[in-house]
Amino acid sequence: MNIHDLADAPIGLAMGTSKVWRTTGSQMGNTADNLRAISAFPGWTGKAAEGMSQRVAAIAGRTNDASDAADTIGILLGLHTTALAVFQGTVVLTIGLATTAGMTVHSDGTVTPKHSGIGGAVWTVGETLIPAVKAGREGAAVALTAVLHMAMLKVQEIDAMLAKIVAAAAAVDFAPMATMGAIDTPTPNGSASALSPSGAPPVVVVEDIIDAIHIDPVLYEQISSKTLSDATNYAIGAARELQLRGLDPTEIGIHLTQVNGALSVIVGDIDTADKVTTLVSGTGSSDPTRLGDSSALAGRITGPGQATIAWHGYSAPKDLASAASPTLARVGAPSLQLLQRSLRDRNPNAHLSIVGHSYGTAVIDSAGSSPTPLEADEIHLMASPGMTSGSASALNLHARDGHAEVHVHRNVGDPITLAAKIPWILGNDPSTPQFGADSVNGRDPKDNGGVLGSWYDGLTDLRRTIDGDLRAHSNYRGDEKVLEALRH
Amino acid sequence: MTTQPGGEPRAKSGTVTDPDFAMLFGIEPQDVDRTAHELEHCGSALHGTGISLPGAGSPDPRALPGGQAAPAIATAAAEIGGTAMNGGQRTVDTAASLLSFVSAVTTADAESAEALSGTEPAGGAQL
Repeated sequence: MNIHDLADAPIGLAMGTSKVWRTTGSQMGNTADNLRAISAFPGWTGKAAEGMSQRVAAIAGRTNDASDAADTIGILLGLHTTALAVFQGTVVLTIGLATTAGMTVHSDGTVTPKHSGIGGAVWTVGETLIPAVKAGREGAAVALTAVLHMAMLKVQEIDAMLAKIVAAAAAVDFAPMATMGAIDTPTPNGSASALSPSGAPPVVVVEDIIDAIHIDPVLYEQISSKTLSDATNYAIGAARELQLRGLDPTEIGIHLTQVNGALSVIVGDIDTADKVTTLVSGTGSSDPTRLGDSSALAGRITGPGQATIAWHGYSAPKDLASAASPTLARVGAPSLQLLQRSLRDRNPNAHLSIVGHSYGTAVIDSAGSSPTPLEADEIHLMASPGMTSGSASALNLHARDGHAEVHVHRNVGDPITLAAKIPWILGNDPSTPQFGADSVNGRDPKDNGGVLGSWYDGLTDLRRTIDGDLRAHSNYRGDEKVLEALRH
Repeated sequence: MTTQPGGEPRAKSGTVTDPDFAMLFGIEPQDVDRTAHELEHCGSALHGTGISLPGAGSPDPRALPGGQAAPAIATAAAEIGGTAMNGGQRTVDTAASLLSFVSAVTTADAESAEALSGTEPAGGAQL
């Protein structure tokens, strides 16, 4: 940058651009609000509706993030141009003074008392007659140079600062385009219509869904018919999620059984799967109805040759107040350890993944902090309130290849992150570069905006929490970007 | 499935509001159809925003002396514009899926009515 770039900069154009960003932010915010309202899907109930609702809510969530980012960039650009205008005014005035005094202003901002023009001739005469005048001119040139250099330096500083904040704020991205699967549509003769605008595979008739559900006979004796009926519906919900992705639930298989004494839905075949995923849910997940949420998630992420266990085998805290204590996580950790060991013994060739949401990550943390290794080739920490382990490498995980991957997922605006920022509650924030996860939201933890990105995200978290917006904490299960990460 | 109370086959009326039908599919086609069109509108708006942002949101580099902010903002415009386009496209695709779903459900209802009553649906399904 040279001084004339600053003096002649058409700052008004940037002010116009600032307005474009703010308008864009406002438009996207309105669209996000509309999408959120639509996601309620009046007139449509059932698991397919819930699945679609979560998809639209996730799009709304990311649109809201983009809206916030655009608004932030617009505001910052507006402030930046205001500051630029002040510096530009100072520079123009200074250059004017120097030129009037017959001095030369160089492109690097240095002012020299070189005589030029009529003014210069006058000053030459003055300096010849009065030596003190020459000294005064030299002093003035130094002072004017200092003003111009200071202006250039400050402009470069605020320019660099704006660039960094913009880069941090713009780290909002959608998953790659998801293939919307076919929706099963029965016809009177029992055949099915394949409906897929994006060409997903054909579907299985709705009457066949129940054939995909395998109920452990023991359950008929050990649990009430009401509980069994509800659980069967949750299993059907998982099957419908598979159908929405164009997968055949009868081929993949849905098992309703007990895993280490806990009623669970298993999508896929544990014994033959290449990958077995264990879902560890968070606060409130001991409520029997929550098996429906985890089963649906299992249906969303399980592919052919994979198996997913919607596991509810620990006593989860009932509310946020009790979730502030790690006690239940510590009590539940041995159960998770036992499950993972049994999976490793049962299918030694399978890639074992553990996915924890919210307080579920505390259970993984506790199980991974035991002297006995936790059998896992990868773990996913969604909406983690904090990890007592100082770093990812400090977790005692046993992977087949010797390196268990640790992936962190956190939504901007998720209020749980505020808890994660307070280490004495449930531990350290795993999304920080210091924790050393393999990825945070699919990126290298260092690529998430650094200190400025953390600062920006923190402000957004705080603002949405104050606004009472808690959706970002539960959007993970419908977020195609997160789901894609869990599928592979 | 498509018989009226009393066991009489239900002739296709063109609009699916049969409580039995709704119970089976958990859907009120008219509502979902309207919602799908709203979704389509949102998706188009979002997609349009995404298309325009990279151009309109990239400042003239001369307006931001310093050399770093202008390209950063241009990059942000491309990224956030891409985000909006992607989200808009996904929303439109979702709307298309929903419309197909509603269409198929109403077609299924019409065909079942036809099969059971032996009558031709008058004008097909209306939403």
